[in-house]
Amino acid sequence: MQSESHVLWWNAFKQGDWDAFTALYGEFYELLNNYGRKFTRDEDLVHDVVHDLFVRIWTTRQRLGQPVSVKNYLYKAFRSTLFRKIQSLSKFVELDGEGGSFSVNFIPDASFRQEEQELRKQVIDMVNTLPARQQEIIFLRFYEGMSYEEISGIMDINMSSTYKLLYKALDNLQKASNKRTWLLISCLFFLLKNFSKKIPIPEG
Amino acid sequence: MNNDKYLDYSLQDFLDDDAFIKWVSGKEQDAVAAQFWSEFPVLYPAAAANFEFAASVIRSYRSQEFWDNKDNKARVLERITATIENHGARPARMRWLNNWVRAAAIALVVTAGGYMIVNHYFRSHMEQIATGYGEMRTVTLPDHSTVTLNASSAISFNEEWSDKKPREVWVEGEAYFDVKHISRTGPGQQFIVHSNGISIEVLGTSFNVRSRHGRTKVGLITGKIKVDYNKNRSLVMLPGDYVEYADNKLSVTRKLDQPEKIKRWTEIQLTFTDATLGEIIETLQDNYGYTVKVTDASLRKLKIEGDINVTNVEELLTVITTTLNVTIDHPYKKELVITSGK
Repeated sequence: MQSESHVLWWNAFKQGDWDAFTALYGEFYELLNNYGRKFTRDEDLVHDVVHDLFVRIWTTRQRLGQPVSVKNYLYKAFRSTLFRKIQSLSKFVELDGEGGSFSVNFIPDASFRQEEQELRKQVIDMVNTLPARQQEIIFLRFYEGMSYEEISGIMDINMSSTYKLLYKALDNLQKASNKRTWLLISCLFFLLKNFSKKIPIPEG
Repeated sequence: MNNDKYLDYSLQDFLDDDAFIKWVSGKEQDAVAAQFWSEFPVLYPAAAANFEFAASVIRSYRSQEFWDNKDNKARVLERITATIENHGARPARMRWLNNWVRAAAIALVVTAGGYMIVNHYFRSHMEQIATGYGEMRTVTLPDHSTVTLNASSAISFNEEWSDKKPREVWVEGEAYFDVKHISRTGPGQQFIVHSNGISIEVLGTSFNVRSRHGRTKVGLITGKIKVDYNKNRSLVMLPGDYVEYADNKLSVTRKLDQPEKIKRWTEIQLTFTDATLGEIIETLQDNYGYTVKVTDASLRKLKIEGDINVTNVEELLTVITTTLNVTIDHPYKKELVITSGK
């Protein structure tokens, strides 16, 4: 599932190979920045989180395991580091709910064929109405191309919380009305519904 | 992969299919799997409409900004390195700057031939930094001077600078220098840039070097530099001066109206002033790796008056086709064919 060089770099880095460490940094820096940007507009915060994450994995490298996917491991660790940072800041700043916001910046006039323009506008409007966590699911699914299992691993969500997300989604989606949008809505609804189906219920 | 379940695959089935999602989002590396999906509409015509719709929804969503934040890549790594060093957790000696550019650097060494290979292997502790097509990078030198490298360019320099020797940098391609003035005496104060047969000696200044196809162009923005060429000839440049060196001659010298403009590429990816189509084509080939065919050589002389400032090739092509009476075909990924007329 993952590139061979990621595994090689990971193993070498765990042995204390600095070149392999910077190779990992070079490989994932842009992806992590892009992911982090969706949670916050604060660039310095994203830099701090990248810094903290890489310092931590270097200093704790001997205790780190063998992730199935290095990328997913870093996404998950990045995400939880970011959330902890945001939480510690939230003593001073009001944030909308757990983990803050999540939003994607659509390219205003990406060149699309005429017949796709309308659909594109509906997809964007649709996505923008969804709450943060659902937007994150859609980002990891449609942008990062991840499987349901991978997404649940990174976002650390279980069945019941996914159900909650789903009910909220349903609520939001009902507000939309026009027929073509409904087709789209049913797709996205389906996506989120199946998402919950695919994740095994954790014991207890 | 041949499977009856695809015969009546619904829209939901597609969106729910991990393999399909992986392919649409460009993450499928297995050639067989990728081929299966690209042939899907032919293999399963009944499901083709749903296939196309699902793919359009995802493509629509994917037309979003990717924030690569490259400008801070080196700086954040420096911070990480500094923090780790303070904890005493980093091994004593290593080169940390150029790891993720190694592939690009090697490719460049090969194309540039003997000269760079000598540089690479026989100079001790040389840092080599190279950019790929369409890539730009700002590098901090050991004395905290900065160099911004344009696409498909490379610099090398000794990783430690002493005050016993001049500060020396070798350039291939295009680079913009912002040099720190160091107030000390002796050779350590000298800052010398070597590029394709000439040496530029600097004292606290900013200037642009462009060395492509055997021609080196130097433009000075602030300060004062001395250009040494052909062993014993030299020329002192003042702000706004712009010289060109080719075939052992310092051939063109002119005064720039707005010297600042020659470093505009450091802020905007594609920037031109009163450029001919030929000059634009050269940039597409040098900086982006395009192959450009022109059906009529005289088209190269067509000029676009005024400034062009765009961030990507697609926008640039739109500017060309709207201002000039030409048609641009895009038969393959990195190939353009320009013909006269609409």
